[in-house]
Amino acid sequence: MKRLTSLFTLAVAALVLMQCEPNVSERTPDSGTVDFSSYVAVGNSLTAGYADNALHRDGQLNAFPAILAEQMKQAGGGDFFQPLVNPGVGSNADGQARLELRLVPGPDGQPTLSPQPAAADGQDIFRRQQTGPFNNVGVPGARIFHLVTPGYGNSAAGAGNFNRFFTRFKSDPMATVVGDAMLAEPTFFSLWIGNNDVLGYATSGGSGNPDGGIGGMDITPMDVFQQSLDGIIATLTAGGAKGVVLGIPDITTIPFFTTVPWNGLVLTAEQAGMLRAGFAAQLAAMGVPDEQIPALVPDFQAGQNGFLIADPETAVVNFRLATENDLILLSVPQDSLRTRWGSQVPIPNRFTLRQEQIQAINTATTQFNTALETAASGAGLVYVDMNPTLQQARTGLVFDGMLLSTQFVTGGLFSLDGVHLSPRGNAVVANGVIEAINRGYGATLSPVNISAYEGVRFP
Amino acid sequence: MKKIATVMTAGLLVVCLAASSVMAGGYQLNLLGQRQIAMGHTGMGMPLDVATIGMNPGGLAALDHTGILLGSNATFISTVYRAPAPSSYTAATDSDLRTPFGIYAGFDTPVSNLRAGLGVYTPYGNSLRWEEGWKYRFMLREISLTAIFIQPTLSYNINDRIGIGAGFIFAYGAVNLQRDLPVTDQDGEFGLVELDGTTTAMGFNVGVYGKVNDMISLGVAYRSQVDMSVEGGDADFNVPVSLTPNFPPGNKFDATLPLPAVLSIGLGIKPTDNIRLNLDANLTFWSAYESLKFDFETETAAVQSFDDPRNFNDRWIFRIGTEVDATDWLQIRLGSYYDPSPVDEGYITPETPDVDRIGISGGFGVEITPRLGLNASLLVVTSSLREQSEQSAIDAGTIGKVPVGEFRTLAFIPGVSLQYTF
Repeated sequence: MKRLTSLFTLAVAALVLMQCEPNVSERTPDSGTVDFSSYVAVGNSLTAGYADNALHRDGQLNAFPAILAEQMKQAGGGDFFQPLVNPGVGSNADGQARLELRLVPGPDGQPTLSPQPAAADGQDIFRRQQTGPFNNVGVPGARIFHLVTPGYGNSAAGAGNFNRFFTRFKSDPMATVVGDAMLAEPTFFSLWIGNNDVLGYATSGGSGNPDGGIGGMDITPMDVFQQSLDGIIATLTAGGAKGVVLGIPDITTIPFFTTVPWNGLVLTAEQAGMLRAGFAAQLAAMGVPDEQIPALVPDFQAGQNGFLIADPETAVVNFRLATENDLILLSVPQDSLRTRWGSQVPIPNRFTLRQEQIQAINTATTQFNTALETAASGAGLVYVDMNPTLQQARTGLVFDGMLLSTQFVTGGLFSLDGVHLSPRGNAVVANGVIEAINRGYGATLSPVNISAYEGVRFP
Repeated sequence: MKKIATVMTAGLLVVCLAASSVMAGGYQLNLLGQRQIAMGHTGMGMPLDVATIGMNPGGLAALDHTGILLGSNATFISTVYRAPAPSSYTAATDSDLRTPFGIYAGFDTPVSNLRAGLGVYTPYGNSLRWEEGWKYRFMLREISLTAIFIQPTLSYNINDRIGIGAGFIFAYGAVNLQRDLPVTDQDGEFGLVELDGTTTAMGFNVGVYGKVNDMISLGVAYRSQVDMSVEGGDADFNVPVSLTPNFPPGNKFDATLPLPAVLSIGLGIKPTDNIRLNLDANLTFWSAYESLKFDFETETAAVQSFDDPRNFNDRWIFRIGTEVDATDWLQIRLGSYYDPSPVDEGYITPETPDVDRIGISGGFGVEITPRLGLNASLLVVTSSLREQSEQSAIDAGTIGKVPVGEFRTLAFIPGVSLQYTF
């Protein structure tokens, strides 16, 4: 009797102690035909982890290369050193703090969500000189040719002639970004570059030269792009490294260009009539003959109207109502838009993209992507095109039971500047790269759970 | 003796308002009596003790004794999820110990051949909590479903071969379901929705027991479906302040979960006086669970009523069990069953990560005094890895709403009961 009882007690105790987890074999990721022991990420702000209009530590820690490097560690990957800034609000090139979502009084007095600087001033992230070599040499603002430009981080070159984000971790005043990448002796690299070569033009509302120029608001000339690309690939692969080359996303997938509706001007019949009368009077005062006036007055009607935008191509008046072929940029001041802009006053060029400008951007994007893909395949590298995923995400894409989209703020993929990715968006890119690496190099890297990453934080 | 009492007291003290998870397909718990559990949860065709009130009310009048029986199980149960290749991700449930129970009492009545009984038991239940931050946190973080049936019963022996019985079921149900929400506050904390409600419902349990001869007996029982309809349950959303217009506080929900009917048949065989052998089969009418529907009182862009397909199928469970009298005070029991999942691939959800299960059980009964008996059982439930492929979810139209990957469940369920014979 006693023995039985103690047996039973023992059995129960054993069960309590027992980890009764069912046995499931865990997969071990494999590096396939490549070597992840020294992974180096080369690129611009998207590689650096720039987000919310600033370089800040949270963004850096959630940059897609950092996520990727963590997964590579399961398959022979080494440490991933980044030129991290101290914890804080970060800074953009102009010394402004990162954006955060805040409740501010809206036009009707009701509190409304709005991205606002997290502090009056940005953090001084530029003073401290960081010593590499670094595995992440992403430089916010870099165009393709900047990566091979000696002295791109040389502060002695004078304002406007160097990039402060590179200055803070360059190995030498005359170093190139790609040269510094090689200091880490990459066995594997990612290259995501070329975005700014069209975005500079696009985000400035097409203020620069669409046919080729190397100014901050120009579209980079094709020959410069090709030459720089060839140089970068040649250097990065010189030591036998393999890698991935990412393509440039289509601007129609970027909230900065798609958030403000072209036809957001809602008028009553009375308001429309007053606007028409006002413009007719204005034209008459300019000395336009009476019979020409009706054709030149913007056709404001009751209901939804295209915003009034500046257009140098429109005869006489240089303005017209926007159509569905135009884009209004997220940078347009919302206060102005609520009062006179877009109705009484045309929205200035720098806040809009007209059809022909969009066409120039799309043409350049396609050409650059063709060049990137060709260069990648020529060097035995894997090309990653995030566009199909981003295009699908325009209408919503479900990851881990969570609906994500390219919608500003609520979509979850983009950060508060509408151009750079949120941690969730970075995780989606990391998984895209992982899929491409697995396909191209026979590796079995493990994708990450998108649900583990944050979108936009709400107050 | 003292030690036994301690163990039993400990076992019975944890009898709280509780039921546990996934011991059977879907959210059914086949843990009605310890003697039966030890024999593969058989006994439809051979009333063994007053737990037959829950299993086959027709057997109560035919029992060779009346008495009171108090029993409970402790559930150590875990389900593991593995993400599709090449992911190295796995997640496990981290569930609290639950204690489904059965309390039964049978009495003779002044009317000859008529017995009365009362059963309080937990035929359905579900309790699981996925590890924190798991991949499908936005589908389910944890669920607790409790159903307690209170069943007054009458059983009558028509003659010395056939007994019938019927019980009225008063059911109490409670559900609590929590999901993370994919929005974070300024500290990076994810939002949470908690749906909580209780309800009551009614049903019945009827059965027939018949002796073919001294060796062979048969039983058939039918327990009705009980619909657990929660009306005005609490839907609490814990979200950043700026989103409260989208997730209004004090919201309510209505939802219904069917606890399906079960038809059971059993064959009892006594090859000798010392050996009892049972063959049982249970048909659970799972097809009643077509969809899970939640209607919210206040709907917003972010809070939408939903009606997700479940499409469970009716399923047979097959059981075998035996009991041997080792000595005049000790009985040894063994059993096994096969419990195929009622859930098709494409419809496997995080709250019922359902797999085909095999149960193996054993136990013993000890006569402490002529009136006082102790039963102990141990049930081990295992399953093979079951995959829900992306394609199956696409075909079912549930892609994005169900997890994709593989599941496996393992459970150790010890139990004890104490019986006092009148």
